Amino acid sequence: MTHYESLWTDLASLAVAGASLAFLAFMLTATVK
Amino acid sequence: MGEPWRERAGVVLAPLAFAALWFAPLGLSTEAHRLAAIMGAVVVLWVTEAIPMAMTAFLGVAASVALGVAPASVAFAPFADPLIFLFVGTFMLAQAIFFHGLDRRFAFAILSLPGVGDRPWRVLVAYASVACLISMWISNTATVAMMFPIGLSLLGALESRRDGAPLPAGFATALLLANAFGASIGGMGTPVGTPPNLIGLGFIRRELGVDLPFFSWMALGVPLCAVLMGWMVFDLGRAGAPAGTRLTGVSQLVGAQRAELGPWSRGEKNSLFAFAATVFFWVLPGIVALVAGQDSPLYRSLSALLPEAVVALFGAGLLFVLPTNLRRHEFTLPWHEAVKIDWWIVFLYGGGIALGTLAFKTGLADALGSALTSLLGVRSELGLIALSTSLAALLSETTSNTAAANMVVPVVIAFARSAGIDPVLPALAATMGSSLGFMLPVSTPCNAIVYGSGRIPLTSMMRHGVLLDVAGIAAIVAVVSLLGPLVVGH
Repeated sequence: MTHYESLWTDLASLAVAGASLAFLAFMLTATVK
Repeated sequence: MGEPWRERAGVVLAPLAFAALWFAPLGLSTEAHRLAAIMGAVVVLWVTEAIPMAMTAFLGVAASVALGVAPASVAFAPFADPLIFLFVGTFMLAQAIFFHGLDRRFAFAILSLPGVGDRPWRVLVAYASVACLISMWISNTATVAMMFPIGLSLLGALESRRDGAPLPAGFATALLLANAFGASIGGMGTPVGTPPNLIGLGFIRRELGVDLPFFSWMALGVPLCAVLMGWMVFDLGRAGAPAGTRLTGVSQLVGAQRAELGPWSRGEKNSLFAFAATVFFWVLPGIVALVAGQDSPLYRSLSALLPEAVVALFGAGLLFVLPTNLRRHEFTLPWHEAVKIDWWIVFLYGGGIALGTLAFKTGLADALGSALTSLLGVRSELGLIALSTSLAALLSETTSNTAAANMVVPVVIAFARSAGIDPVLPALAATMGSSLGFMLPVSTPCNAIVYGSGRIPLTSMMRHGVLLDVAGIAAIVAVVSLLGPLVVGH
């Protein structure tokens, strides 16, 4: 992997991790009373 | 795993057990009587391991349908028990940690803590603690397999030193035993530490309707681990790492191994994130319960919406969306690695719960329970806790911990009911007791691996193992009977 590819992978990982937590938070706010 | 004579004995004894129970006048209903014959054969096959244990579980359930004990849809339903999915998710997370070598990085990080390297006793404590901490989250056997080469290379480096004091006699034995024992002890720390825990929890939930949260198990399991680790390190340290000896060379070796690992890879970071997020949501409902109370609406909805199995599946799911190489479209855990998880344990769990559920439905468990009550005459909760722990420990000495839990926990529940004792704590004690069994190489694969090094005399394993068994039974009885009522509320 080139430096830029690995940088993009890192960014994508962070984005996916953040989006996953946000989605979980969304599910919980919709269901938790 | 078993010896040839044992497997051969199983082939002969299983049909004999079936026939003997089939024709014996047991005074049971037709369904319960037939199930008794099936269970007799299943128990023989589990103990002798004549055929793979998961297949025995499958065949036991299939035979129950064929003999009319229960319709297929009822008999096979427990294979979809939520805890099955907790197994699958947890195993995949552990597989990712293993695949990317995160466990090795953690092990070397602990061993290079300041002050660890220069005394044999501290090396022993650090090495055993790492085994214990890792095995709380990944399988005991995988932990031992991972720590074993690290231990051997530590020993190799220490033995080839030219300067400094010689290694104390018996240090190698103590260090390797600490790996096996530490991993077995660590398994008791969390619900996902070792399969018997989930089997016991499954029976407690299905038969008694009591849901023990992740956090509550840890409130019992972690003190238990601490007590047993303390005893083990004391016992092994006395034998192989006398105080006052100094070592040189450990920190250099560990430092070199650490340097070889290089910087954190994307896969390691992703696995750590998925694992940390999973653990966070596993313990979150327990923390909410501590802060807001067990009856708070927030705790109730969190534990209903995010049971351990759901959290584990989300956590495992992260491994397939967190990228490790965007251009090649590679993610943290490739599917061909994910399918390498221990499916046999998943199926054994399903089959064990299925047969156990049938035993309760047909009334077989109750009949067995009342027979045992009149035979043994145990009337107090403390007596039954002690009996359950000892029985499970004894059985797991010769058979696998998983099979021991499958066999002992349902019997203990039925026994407690017919003796008029609350079954929750005795069942919990039996569950924990199934993880004991430290005496023989065949007691658990952890012991088998370190025994395979050829550096542990059998007498040493037996001597230290028996002491640890006894300490384990005492510690489980103490923890379950003293802390249990506070944590479980029973």
